[in-house]
Order: sequence, then structure tokens, then C-alpha cells
Amino acid sequence: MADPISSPPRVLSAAAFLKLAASLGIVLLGCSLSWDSWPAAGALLAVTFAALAFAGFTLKALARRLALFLPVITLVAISIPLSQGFTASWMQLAGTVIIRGAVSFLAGLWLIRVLPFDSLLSTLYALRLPAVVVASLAMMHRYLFVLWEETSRLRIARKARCLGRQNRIAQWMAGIGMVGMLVIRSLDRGHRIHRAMLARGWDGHIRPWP
Amino acid sequence: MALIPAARLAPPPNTSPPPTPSPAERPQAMTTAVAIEVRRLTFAYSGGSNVLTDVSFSVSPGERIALLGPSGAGKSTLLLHLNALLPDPPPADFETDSAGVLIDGLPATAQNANPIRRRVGLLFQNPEDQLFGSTVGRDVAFGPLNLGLDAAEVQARVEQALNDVGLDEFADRDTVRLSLGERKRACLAGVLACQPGCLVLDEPFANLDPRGRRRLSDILTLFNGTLLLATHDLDAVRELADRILVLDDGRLCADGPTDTILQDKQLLTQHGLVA
Repeated sequence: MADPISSPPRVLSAAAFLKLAASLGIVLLGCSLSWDSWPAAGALLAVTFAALAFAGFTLKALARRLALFLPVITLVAISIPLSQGFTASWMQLAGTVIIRGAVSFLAGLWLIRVLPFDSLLSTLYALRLPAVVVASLAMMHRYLFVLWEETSRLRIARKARCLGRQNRIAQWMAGIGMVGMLVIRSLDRGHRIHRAMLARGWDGHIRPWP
Repeated sequence: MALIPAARLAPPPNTSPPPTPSPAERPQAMTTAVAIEVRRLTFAYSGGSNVLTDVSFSVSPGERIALLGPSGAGKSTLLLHLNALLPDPPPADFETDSAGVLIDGLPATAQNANPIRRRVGLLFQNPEDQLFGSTVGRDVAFGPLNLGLDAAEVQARVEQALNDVGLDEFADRDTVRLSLGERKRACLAGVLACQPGCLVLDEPFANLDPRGRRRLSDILTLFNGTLLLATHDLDAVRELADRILVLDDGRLCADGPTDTILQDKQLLTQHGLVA
């Protein structure tokens, strides 16, 4: 809960609000479409691609991100018929999941591109999202970068000691070990961050600042 | 509990580094500078052996102390005690002279954590642990907001603290996009914004390049509250500290004026402070 004395005013930027609303609109529209309405889905995807191009996204950058996203959403889509049985319409169902996921993912990419995360947080706060949620998002964003840097350092350190080609299984085993190490380090870091927050007078209440 | 008026930084440095003032020349520590007393402190983490054993010393308001010792000597643990961040040691009581930590006469226990943390500002070794705001301004505002200050006062403190550390233009900068030296100074601004009477710093010069080290040293030179600095940097110790405490294997091994301790090569070698 925020301290009423020190809570800053919730000022909404019109431009930031419009960007957020447009992005949410695309997601909602995308999620309302099914495989049968593929022309509308195609049009929506085209609009989203155009928006991404205007936002300065290169085709290469987009392809790299889609290459990471599409296998995951495809697995999710296939998991439905795998668990419920391959009925006559399983392909339509899987296709609908992929379309909805792809539209939402692209809308999210566009939003990140046109609205800096800091402005997004301010907008969410102005839209009366609870302060604790905004603060959690801010810390998550901050420490994702720290975790990513730590992962990169671990990978480089591992490569530096791999003096020959490793087979795939050895790479996976090393990767699993690295993930375990990251979890332990993250827990440790969380403990240290908590101490640093306490040292600056944190009493469990989130008091945001614009 | 009323807020203590703060020890402040003098105006920001000129382009050339200011000469280090001698203890006599340095602005007299304000009455708000904090006194520290550690009495026979013994501490072990859960399931481990003693990290600190029978450590005793006292620090007068406005004194500038360097805490030296090899890695694993217990320096960081001792600093955490000064901010009431570790499980309570046995309660300290001036009257009965029992063991513990006292900050301005207050036992450093969980019960007194808030007044203790208002008096003592702790700078952690790794800036990533301390810099958790999305922007520099938000991070620096974290402490003043927790002090319950109104928005105008928080803003004033943020601006003043950023000015003190030479990061005036960085309030809206993403904390991810800072160099290590800038991160350390942003962390220091976060501590200074709470206007503590005592600064406790854990390895503030670690991994800094010479320019970053110089800048940080200049900022600390101008702080006129009590200063306790854990470091391996003997040049910084010469510059900033009037007195040295040597901690090794959790025990206080030496306590004396900076010149005397730094001239004792045998002592420094024995405790791994010089190669």
C-alpha cells in the first residue's frame, strides 16, 4: 500500500496511453479471431507488421525473435490435440492458437519498441494499477538484465574452458548445471537486495515515484 | 522518532580534485554525526563457525575509519551489524556493559532498526544489489520516500544527492545503462539522499578504474559525518581515513592512527594487506 503523503500524483500521458490502448486492442482483436476468419487475421498481421516496420524493426531482428517464439507457441498448439485427442478440427484449433499467439507477441514487440519500459510503468501507475504490481514489474525488468548479464558471463566462462567440441548431451548437461547455478545465485542476490532495501528504510510498503 | 538532521556534503568539487583536508582542517563534524560502539561482538551464521569473535571498538562522531582485512575476515558481516541487518546479537546495554552494537547509544536490534538505519547509511559492495530502481532518480528516491517525506522534499533530496555525486543529468537514465563507476555513484546518491550521520561503505573502490576511483574518493572526502570504510585500497585509506582497524579471521588485530598502522609493514604482511 502506498503512503498517501508521499505517493506522487498519477499523471497519464495521452501518447503513452494511446500506444498501450492500441497494443491491447490488437491483442484483443487477435484473440477474438479463429482459423475460419483467416482473412481478417491476415489483415491484422499485415497491420502489425507494418506498425513494426514503421517503428524501425528490421526484418532480420523480427525473424530472430519469431524464430524463438514460434517453436514455443507451436508446441503449445500441438499439446492441445495431444492431450484431448486428434479430432477432425485439430488443425484449425492449433492454427487458431498460433495466430492468436503470434498477433499478441507482435503487438507486445511493437509496444516495447514504441514505449520505453519506464513510460509503460508510469502509464500503468497512472491507470491505477496497484503500486506493488508496478514496483514488482520494475524490479523484474531491472533484474532480468542482471540475470542475462550473469548468464552471458557463465556461458563465456564455460566456453573458455571447453577446449574441444562438446557433444550435444554434454552441452545440455552443462546448460542444466548453469541453470541450477543461476537459480542459486538469484536466490542469494534476492537476499542481498532485500537487505539493501531494508538498509534504506523499507518497511514492506511500496511508495512509487514518477 | 524524529528525523535526525543530516550530516551534509560540502559543495560539489571543482574540476581539479580538492586537497584532502587534515582532521583539524576538515569541517567540524556536526552534532548529528553518529557515534558507534561495538562491544565484544561475536557472531556466527546459522550452522557455521564464528565469523566475528569478541570484536570491540568505538568510533567518535565525525571520525573517519578504515576497516582493513583479508577476504573472508568478517568485514562485510561487521558492517551489516552496524545497520541492524543481521539477527540480533545479545542486547547491548550501556548500563550493564553487555555485548553488542550501539549506534548513538541505541542497541542495533530489530526493534531499533528504523532509527538505526536513519543514522547509518550502508553502501553495499555490489551496486547491482543496491540499484533496484528502473531509473536513477527513482532509485535515489527510494530511501527518502521510506522516510515518509512529502513529494517536494523527496524531489529536493534526489536533486541534491545526484548533484553531490556529479550525476545531475542522470535522474531519468535507465539504471541498466550505467557504467560501473556511475552505478557506484548512483548507489552512493541513494544513501546520501537519506542524509545519514554515518556512512558505512563496503569495498567502494572495488573494480573501479582510476578516474572512477578518484571521483568517488573526492565525494567521500567532502562528507563530514562519521565514515567507516572497508577496503583493500591502501591509497584510499591514506586519503580518507584518520584511523585504521585491522580485522583478520573475525578478530580485531590492530587499531591505531592511519600513519602508524600503514608504516607497520610486518603487521600489514602478517594480515595479507600487502604482498
